[in-house]
Amino acid sequence: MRDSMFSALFGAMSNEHRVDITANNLANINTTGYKRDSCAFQDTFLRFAHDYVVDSKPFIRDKDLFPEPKIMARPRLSEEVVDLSQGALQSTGNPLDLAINGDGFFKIQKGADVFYTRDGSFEMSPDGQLVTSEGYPVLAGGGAVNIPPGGEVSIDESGVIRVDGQNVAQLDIVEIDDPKGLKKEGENLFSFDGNEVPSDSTVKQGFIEKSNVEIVTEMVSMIESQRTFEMYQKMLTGTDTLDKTVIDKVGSVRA
Amino acid sequence: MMRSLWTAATGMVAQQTHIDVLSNNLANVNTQGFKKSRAEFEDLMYQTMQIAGATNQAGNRLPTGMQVGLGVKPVTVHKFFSQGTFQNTGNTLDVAIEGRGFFRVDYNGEDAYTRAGAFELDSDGRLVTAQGYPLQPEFVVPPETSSVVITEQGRFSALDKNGVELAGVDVPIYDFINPPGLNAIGKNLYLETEGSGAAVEGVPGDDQFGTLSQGYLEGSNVELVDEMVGLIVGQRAYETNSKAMTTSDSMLQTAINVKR
Repeated sequence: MRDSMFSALFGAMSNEHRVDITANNLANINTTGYKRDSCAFQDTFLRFAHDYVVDSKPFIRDKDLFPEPKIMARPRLSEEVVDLSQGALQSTGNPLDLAINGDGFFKIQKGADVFYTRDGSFEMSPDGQLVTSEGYPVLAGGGAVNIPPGGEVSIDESGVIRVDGQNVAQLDIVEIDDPKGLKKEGENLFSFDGNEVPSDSTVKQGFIEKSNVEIVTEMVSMIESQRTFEMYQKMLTGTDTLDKTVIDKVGSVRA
Repeated sequence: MMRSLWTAATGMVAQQTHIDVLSNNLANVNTQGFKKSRAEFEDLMYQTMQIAGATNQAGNRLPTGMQVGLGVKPVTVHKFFSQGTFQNTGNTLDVAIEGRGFFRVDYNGEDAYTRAGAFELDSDGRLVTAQGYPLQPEFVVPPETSSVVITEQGRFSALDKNGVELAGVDVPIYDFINPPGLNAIGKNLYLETEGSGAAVEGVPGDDQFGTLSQGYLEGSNVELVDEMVGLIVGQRAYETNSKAMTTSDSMLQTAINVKR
């Protein structure tokens, strides 16, 4: 009886987690360059079953060779995956708005560390550097980009920045060998420790990449989580009722 | 569950800012020299429950981590200094800047900058903005003037009926490294900030500076359709976030109902 109660509890907890993730996706529906999170569940059946496997016996006659495993579906959240699919590109007409078409990332210097982002709504700092909305320098050729003031900034598909036709710098656009190792840091930044690989992504000037969250998908996942959660609740109360019946029956003296 | 309630709340607050910015753009659709703004968002911090690369009970390295985001925050409201539409008014004291640059006016002893070039004469004959802030350097139009001529290069001259110059002044215009960093104070005026960089003085038509056009006014650069689409997007995003909130609320209710 307890088993079913714990199974339901684990299920409910995983669903709660799932709603948290969905809510975060929905909150970031208008965040430039945001990539949605999705999660996967695994049941812990194997691990629990293993606890019940006793030492194997060499002879059939000794029995217990294949002890009956206790089957308990206790789903747990196993992993969370960042969905890196392309978001829609929106035209803004601002020359410092850049969108990446492909799997690449811009490189950003924050303090001593390098971070990656798909948010290309860049600005000029008062020192004339190309920076993110938070003021972190965008890297080109391994360093920050200084843009001469007042000029006409044009950035071509390969990320070459030209001011009044003069070649200024080449934006660092890289891909990473293992996208699963990306860690979200907030501020639209990703961190990653692994290898960078050259990217053949193209840059589009005057566009920003919208978030790749789709309302319908998130809504469906929300409904699904809510209903499963209700189901688990029914299971919990059902088990409880059963327990209660047993206790009442055992505890009462029949006339 | 409380986490998703708060996450949804950050989403609703962010969309509220989004709509606030759009409404201000729409309210100023006919304001001379007005520059539209756009709210930008970024994801908030993440709660890391499992680091990617950690070892699980079976001794395997986990390829991915487990992080739950805690919502969104508005990071900046970016002003767009693209050119607005020009309107021919025929008024000799209306001046538009074609290209980069701002006029400097005296804002109660402080330097303020504007692109709204609808100048007027005050009782002393000075060229002032509609709110009465004098253009810098000051230009006084003598009473005998029959016409005022403003050249593309910023020469303001008051001529008598024979075409003789009674008074004249070269009005420079000013540019900034980062115009979106200017502090908008209303009244179509901007103040210099640390973010914009210092004002760079220049002669209209030189280098990056724009030229002046007499008899024209610069309208706002607000595109009605863009703003309307933005409103729809903002409203729907607000709605979905409120749905996320009601969902987690009803799940809480369900959880509470477990205990009878």
